[in-house]
Amino acid sequence: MCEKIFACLFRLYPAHFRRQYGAEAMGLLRDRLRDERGSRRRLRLWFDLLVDFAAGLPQAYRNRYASPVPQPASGLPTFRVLDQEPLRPGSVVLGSVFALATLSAFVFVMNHASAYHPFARLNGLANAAHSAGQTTPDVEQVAEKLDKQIRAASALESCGFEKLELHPGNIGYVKLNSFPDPARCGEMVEAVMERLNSTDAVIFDLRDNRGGYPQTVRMIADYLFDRPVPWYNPRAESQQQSVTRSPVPGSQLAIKPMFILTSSRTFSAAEHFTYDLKMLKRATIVGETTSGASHGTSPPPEGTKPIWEGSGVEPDVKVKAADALQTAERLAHRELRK
Amino acid sequence: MPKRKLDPLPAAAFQILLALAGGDLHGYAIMRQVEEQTAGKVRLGPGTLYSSIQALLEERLIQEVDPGAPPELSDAPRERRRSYRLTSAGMKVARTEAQRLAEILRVARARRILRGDYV
Repeated sequence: MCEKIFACLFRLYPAHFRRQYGAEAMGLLRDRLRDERGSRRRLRLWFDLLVDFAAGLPQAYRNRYASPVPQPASGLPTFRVLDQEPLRPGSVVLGSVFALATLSAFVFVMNHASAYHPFARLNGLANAAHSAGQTTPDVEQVAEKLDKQIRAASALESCGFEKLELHPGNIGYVKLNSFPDPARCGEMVEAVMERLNSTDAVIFDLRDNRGGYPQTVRMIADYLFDRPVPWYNPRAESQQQSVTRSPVPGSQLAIKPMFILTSSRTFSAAEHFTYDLKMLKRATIVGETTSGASHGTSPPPEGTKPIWEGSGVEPDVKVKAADALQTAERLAHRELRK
Repeated sequence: MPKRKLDPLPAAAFQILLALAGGDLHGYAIMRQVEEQTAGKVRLGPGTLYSSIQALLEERLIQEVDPGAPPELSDAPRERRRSYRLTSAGMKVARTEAQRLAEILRVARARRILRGDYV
């Protein structure tokens, strides 16, 4: 019995070592089993063997098991040629351990990196609702997910979406720094609005928004109404552009509270969005009066001068831009408790 | 100069060198000899014993000797047991190690950190 256990443990030693000393080691064990009888001595024997394993194993792997280097006969120098030596088992073991450790670290990072990514947080929420039981995705899934998230994140940023997060109380938070070209980013805007669909309230952060395309402004507004509403667009080229294309099929955002954060740096199309939703009483504006400089440097074409030009859009709740998010979240919580 | 594996000399290897200083021994006898010379404190298990022996062989501090005719006392045909002998290089290493320890002991004595009747 003892010998069998020992023989199993002995398999952990390098093959060279087993070949050379296996029989003798077993003999030594047999001798000790013969000489050391009685439960206390046996116990000590086993303790010895376990300690010996911890100490002897690394040493056994450090040995070369090659024939010793011949000593130079005279004072002539000799050279050891490494590629003639077989790969030492110790190196193989060490290499495997390192590879496994690196792989585990990689998997760990991939599994947990998503927790710190804003887009993934919202994404993860939707996924969690669908597959609550699936908590340990395999490596491939994780890699695929991460890849998607990285691509999605850079695509989001290139379309002006700096942040897309889920805040406590199931409040969707969108930091939009421009209203992007609908031809390029239309699908992205749609995807973002769909993601926001499952939230209970939405905060649009336009504090650093420098403006953009009025088509995109209206495109977002389409989601916020359950019927077509007149849409003020100072640069509308046709009647068609002066009414929202609501409702958007499947969208539930029309009944949800909206908040817009503004600052004195909120420009142009962002002011357009803010102004219209304020006038339609569809959103609560929190922050500072907007810049009122709708076109930056170049003067606007005749007859298209927006109402807020020069004066800016006044917020409903006037707070410092830095405090706007906190205030809006508080208001949203109050609204949702009703 | 390549770094030597047994530098510094591990305690187990030193004990084996000391055990072999008294004459050629095979594995089990080395283990018993080490146990004896350390008053039962050090008992080398097979792993430590044979990997240390291997390291000492590789460094040419000990060598294998032909055991000659096996003693005729066993009941079954036993496997051939290899015996080991201290080489002159091994003797030198053991002496150097002993001198190093003696030097440390001298300092320890001068600092009066030894109590009782140590020589």
